[in-house]
Amino acid sequence: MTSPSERRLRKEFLELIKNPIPGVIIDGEKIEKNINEWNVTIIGAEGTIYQGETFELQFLFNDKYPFDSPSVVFIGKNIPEHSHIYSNGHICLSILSQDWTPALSVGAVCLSIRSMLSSATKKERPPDDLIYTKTCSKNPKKTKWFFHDDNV
Amino acid sequence: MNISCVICSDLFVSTDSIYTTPCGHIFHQVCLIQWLERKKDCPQCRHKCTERNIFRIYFNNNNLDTSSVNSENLIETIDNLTLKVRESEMTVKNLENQKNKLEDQLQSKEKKIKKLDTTVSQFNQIIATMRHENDLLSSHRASYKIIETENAELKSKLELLQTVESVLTASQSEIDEILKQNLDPRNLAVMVGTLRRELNCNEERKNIMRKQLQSIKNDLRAEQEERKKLEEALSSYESKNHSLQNRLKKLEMKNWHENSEIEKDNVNVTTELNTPEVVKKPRLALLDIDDSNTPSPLSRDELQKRIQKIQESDSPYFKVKSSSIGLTCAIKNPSHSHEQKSETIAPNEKETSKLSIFRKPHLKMTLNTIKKPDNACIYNGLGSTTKVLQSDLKEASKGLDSFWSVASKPKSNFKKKLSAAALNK
Repeated sequence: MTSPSERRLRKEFLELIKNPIPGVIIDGEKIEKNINEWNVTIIGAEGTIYQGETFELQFLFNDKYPFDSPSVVFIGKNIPEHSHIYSNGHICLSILSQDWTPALSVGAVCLSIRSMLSSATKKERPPDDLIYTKTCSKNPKKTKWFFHDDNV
Repeated sequence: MNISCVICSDLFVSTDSIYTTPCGHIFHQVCLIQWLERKKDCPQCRHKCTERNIFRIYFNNNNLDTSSVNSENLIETIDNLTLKVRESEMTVKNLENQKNKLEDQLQSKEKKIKKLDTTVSQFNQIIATMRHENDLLSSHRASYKIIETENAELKSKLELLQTVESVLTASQSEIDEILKQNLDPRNLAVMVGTLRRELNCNEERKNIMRKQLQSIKNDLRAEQEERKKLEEALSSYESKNHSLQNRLKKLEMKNWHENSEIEKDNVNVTTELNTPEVVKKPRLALLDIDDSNTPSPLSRDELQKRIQKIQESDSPYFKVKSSSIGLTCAIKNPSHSHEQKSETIAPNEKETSKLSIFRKPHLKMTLNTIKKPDNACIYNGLGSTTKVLQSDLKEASKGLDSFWSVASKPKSNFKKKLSAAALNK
């Protein structure tokens, strides 16, 4: 028997294959091997400062999904230079922690991140990047985020 | 009923307990309560919501409308099946990819195998050639070994021969030392054999030398006998000479008497100057005395002829004669003929000196002493000269010729023997 989280993830996966989101490519083969770990490629939207760049996102789900939010980080060599994205790949985004709802999905999160990137006007790291990257945990969910930018 | 729960994304079934929030969003009861335990707001609109203000709602399911329920289920099943189909397609794709990869691998492997086969054949060829070479080399090695052993044998032989050579050349004490060091019976046997051979050779040589010595002794004896003969001949000639001189003295005495008589005649008969010669001639026909004061043209011609004869004769007589007395005067009266003679005699002397074994000193003496009397005169040692009779001269020359021919033969024989002995050596 498949767990409710796995059923939900399968449905999400099927939905994304049926109706793919522009600028978001999911790694089907890897997801089929392990449904709890997704690698998603985000393409920098045209007309933005990230045009032509590609970034890789890693989604890690636990068995309490969708009640628990997934852990989402940028991985790989190219981590977008953004005021809400730390150099270790952690993303300062409310829906990934306290504003998470079970109604949200992988596609919704991807869209939110892509819109966050697209809304940026200049490439810069967060002001506390150095301190955070030195002190933070590996799992971004263990960070207590203090959100100061409500524009996203 | 094509409505799904947002939390679990499953379609609502008529049998499900469906609850609604005050804001009007519907969820499964299980899903909504589970979420409300964590957060008191609507999952969809974040409107405030607690377990108290949620309500169960009921749909009026028409029994006739069972097909619709079935259709919902069917859609779900279809979704699941499509997912499965997709999965299977994916697996098929993967398998195909794997197959292609494996085929590629197979092809590459086959190519590799072919290459390896060719290399194997090449290596086999190389191995065959190497074996061949190895065989050749082993045969070479065998021959080399044989040669080495031969070389060693030859070396040992050479050493042995060297020791033998040293034995042959070394002194007695050295030989003793060598014999002490060399105790190999074989070597000693070889040494003894060589020494015996050497001894035999030496004996043979000794015999040859002895024979030569005997022959030389015989020659010497023969020579001595010849010498005695010659001495006898010389003594006889000397006695002859003495008798002739005596006769000459007598004749001179006679001549002096006759001259005195002629002078007496000249006082009486003062005729032409030629007359005494005419008178003399018949008287002195045999004697033909040459007076230096009165040289007659006839006698000169005769003398020259004789000189020529002597010159041409090549007789060793003159050499023998050189030991006789009274020829030194000829040097004091050098004449035209004498110069000619010395010139002509020189080469003859050289020739004889070449042939003679009693070389330089004696011959040089003869060279110096042989001076021909220009008028074939013989000085008698008393200050006067006497003319030698032609017949006497001839006799003397003949005798000497015979002597010389006798004397020269053994010499030449002896010489030949000597040269032969030298060659044998």
